[in-house]
Amino acid sequence: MTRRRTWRAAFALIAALMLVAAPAALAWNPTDMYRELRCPTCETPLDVSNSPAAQRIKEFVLERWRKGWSEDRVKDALVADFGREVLATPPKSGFDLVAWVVPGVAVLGGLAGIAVLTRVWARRRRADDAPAAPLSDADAARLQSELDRLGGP
Amino acid sequence: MAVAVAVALLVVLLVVGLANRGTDTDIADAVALGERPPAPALTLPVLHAGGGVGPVGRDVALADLRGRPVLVNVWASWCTPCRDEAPVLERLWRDVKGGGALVLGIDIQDVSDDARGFIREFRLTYPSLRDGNGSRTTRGFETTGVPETFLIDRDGNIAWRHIGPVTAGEAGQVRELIEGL
Repeated sequence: MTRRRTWRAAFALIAALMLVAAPAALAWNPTDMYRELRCPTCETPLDVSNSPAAQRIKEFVLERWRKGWSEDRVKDALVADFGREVLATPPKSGFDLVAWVVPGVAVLGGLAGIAVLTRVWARRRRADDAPAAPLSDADAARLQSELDRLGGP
Repeated sequence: MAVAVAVALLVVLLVVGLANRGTDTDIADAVALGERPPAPALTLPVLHAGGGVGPVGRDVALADLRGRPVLVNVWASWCTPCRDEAPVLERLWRDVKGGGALVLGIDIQDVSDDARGFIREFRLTYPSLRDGNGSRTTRGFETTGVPETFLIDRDGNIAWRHIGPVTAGEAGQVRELIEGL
């Protein structure tokens, strides 16, 4: 019983230490951030670039991650040094929000257009398939006379 | 109708392409032919002050430096050849500054703390500007990498271009070029 209590206490202590000691930085992953950054030399995402500048930026990110910097703080520091072009994806605020909104609006607009066109075409098709109006007596007589002239029934 | 539109678009593309193909777009060819193409109209913040260029953070235009020969050196702290070149340029700067010439670094694609550390490490006293992502400098000077060095004459035209580090052996020739302007 005492041994079990000791184990529980030790486990609780370790868990508490991990919670306290784990840096806030662990909430994000440097390798994920590499995909969101662009190499200033080759203008490709950082994770596929091996240029010296890209390597240095990776080191910069890793160093700050180890120091417990937040993701936003690291990105802000990089933007201050390299400009917003260092971000492979535009920020979701201000004018850059347009880059995020326009594709969604375009897709929704496309879907709405398809729906409208489908309805219009379906309505037209129904109109085409509708039974023809019965012939008037005059038209029926004329049709019969034409058929008689051509030697029909 | 579609063919006519396609042809019209092609003609527009051709005209736009020809209109933008000035002879001054190829600095390397022009300098090799003995011409002096105009230096790009760059305005960049001061990273390290010196030689009358400053204070730190102030925007400086290359055009503001007309009237004196300017040796522009494009560098980065992560560039290994730049480490060999920095002491050579510092000596050159000390040699030519009395005559009114300026050695001017442009740090590109660099972490700013690294750049400042580089300047401290080599005790550079010539000024440097900073172009964070480097696009304005690389486009303006049509650089192929770092380091690259350009000599701008008193009228703001590029008189000489050098790819790679300026070595101690080449410093004398560069000094003569500067003094000849």
